[in-house]
Formats: sequence, C-alpha cells, structure tokens
Amino acid sequence: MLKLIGRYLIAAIMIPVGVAVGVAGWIQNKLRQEYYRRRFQEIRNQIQQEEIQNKQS
Amino acid sequence: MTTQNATFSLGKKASILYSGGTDSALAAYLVGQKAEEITLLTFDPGFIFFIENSKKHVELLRHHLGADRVKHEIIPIKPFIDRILFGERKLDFKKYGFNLTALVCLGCRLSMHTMAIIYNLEHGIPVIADGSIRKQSTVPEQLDSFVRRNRRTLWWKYGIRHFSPIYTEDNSDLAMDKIRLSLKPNLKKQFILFDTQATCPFGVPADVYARLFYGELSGPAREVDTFEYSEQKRPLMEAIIGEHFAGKTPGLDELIGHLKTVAAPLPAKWEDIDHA
Repeated sequence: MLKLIGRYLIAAIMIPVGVAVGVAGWIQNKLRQEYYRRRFQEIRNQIQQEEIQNKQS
Repeated sequence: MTTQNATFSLGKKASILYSGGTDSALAAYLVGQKAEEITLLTFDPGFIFFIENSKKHVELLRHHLGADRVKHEIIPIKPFIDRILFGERKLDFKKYGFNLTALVCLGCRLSMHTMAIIYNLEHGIPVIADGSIRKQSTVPEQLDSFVRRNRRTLWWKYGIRHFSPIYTEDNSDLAMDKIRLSLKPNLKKQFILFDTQATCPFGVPADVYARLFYGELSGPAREVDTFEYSEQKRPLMEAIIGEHFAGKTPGLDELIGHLKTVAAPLPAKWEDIDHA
C-alpha cells in the first residue's frame, strides 16, 4: 500500500516536472533548429568519412 | 522472440549490464545459453533507490542456467558519475540546455560502460551484452546510432565485443513468460517503483522528456546531442580507464591484446551480431 502511494506521489511530482522542462526544451530546440539541421548533416558526413577510412584500413 | 545471430559464438565468458529488469534479465538468459560463464554487472551511481531489487531475477537465472555459471556483482560507480555526468555540468547545461534532462541517462550509461570496460579487462572477459531494445530508442542511450558507434569503439579501443541480444524484441514480458523467467506478469508495464530493479529519481522526467518532446518534435536535436555528448565524454572515459591501469602489471595494452586474442571472430557485418 505504501509502495502504491509512493509510486503515485512521485508520479504526481515528477511527471509534471518532465512536462514543464519538456515544453521549455521544445521551445529551445525550435530556436536552435537551424544549428541542429546543419550539425546533423556535418555529423552524417563525418561518420561516412570514418566508415570509408575504416574500410580502407 | 529474436535472438542473436546463430553463427556468433561468445566463447567462455561474457558480462551483462544488468539492472534486474525484464530486458536485462532476458538478455542475460540468452547470453547464458551461448557463454559458459556470465557475470551480471549492476552499477550503483549513488543516487538510486532499492538497488537490492536487482537480485530478484538472479536466483531464477541461476536456476535456469546453473548456479555456478551466473555471477552477480553490484559495483559502485559514483566517482565515475561525478566526473562524467556531473564534472562538466555548467558547460553541459550551456551546450545542451533543457535537453540534459534526457542526456543525463546517457551520461549514466557511459559511466557504466567505463566501469564495465575496466571490469572486463581485469577479468579477461571479451564480451559485454546489454538489454537495449529498439522499442525504447526514444532515450538517447538506446538510439540505434549510439549503440552502433559505441560498439565499434569498444572493439577497436578495448578489444571488447558488445551486443544487444534483444534489440529487436517486441514484447520482453511475453518472452520472459515463455521461458518461465518472469517473477510476475507485466513487469515491463511498471513505472517509477519497480519490483525487480532500482528506482532512479531522474528516470521519470527523463523518460517523459525523451518520449514526448525529444523525438520527432525536436527534429534532429536528439541525434545531434547524443553524438556530441558521447564524443565529448569519450576522452573522460579513456582518461579514467588509463588512470585505473596506470602503473599496473599487466598494463592496459597487454590486457586489450589479450581480449583481442580470446574474442570470437567477428561476423561479416557488425549488424549481424544482433540487428539481423
């Protein structure tokens, strides 16, 4: 019973924390979306280069 | 149920990153059928509760696989957590902002990997397995790209084979029931306070953040951050491992060389280990 109460008590606190931080994070990621798009492409190219080098070695 | 590639033999010893939950217990069972001796490594980062719960599935695994074939160790990793997860917290917050809510689990996983590498090198164990599953790839440490990159690093740098035998598993509860390894039905559906594994206070907000806000909604942010964060922490991990073996005999290079000689041959494609 105590465990059940504890579970819902933690959920009642931590889930709203996750949602609140999540909304803030979503706004942050929207503002940074151009950076993320560019960096994603750079990382993809870097990984492809590494793959080629590893195959050669 | 999906299992690892049938042609991939594990040899004598393997270790498993073991929380005690359904996925890691199922992974341990599958690895135990391929290796002569398995060591279940449960890590205590210092901020989780009820870590003793991880022992509950161990008895069942010993019953199924043989008592002398299953070792279980609970190892503290707080000093590694302090350096890898918290050591650069100001820099991390500046760089990743609110996304750290989910990346905290990746930092914890990298600290676990650091200790697992040390353990495997010291004990001559050439294989590390874990219970990562694609279904949970909303969290950074189970992203396909991270799992694959981490696997390559473990082999090239330390001579350790990593694989995730249940990566493509859809229902580990059902799979556990089929082999009678489950302590009770629907363990996977538990949340926050688990019967067979520890409870992490960061786990709930991290999971909510990763599932709802850090996927499609954030475009490539999760992929980029996961790559950058793990690459940023990699030198720290190497430094910790280097410091641990400094001045010891046999040295780090000798231990890595030993693991590379005892490891089973690689399959034709890395993905064949468990992604096939």
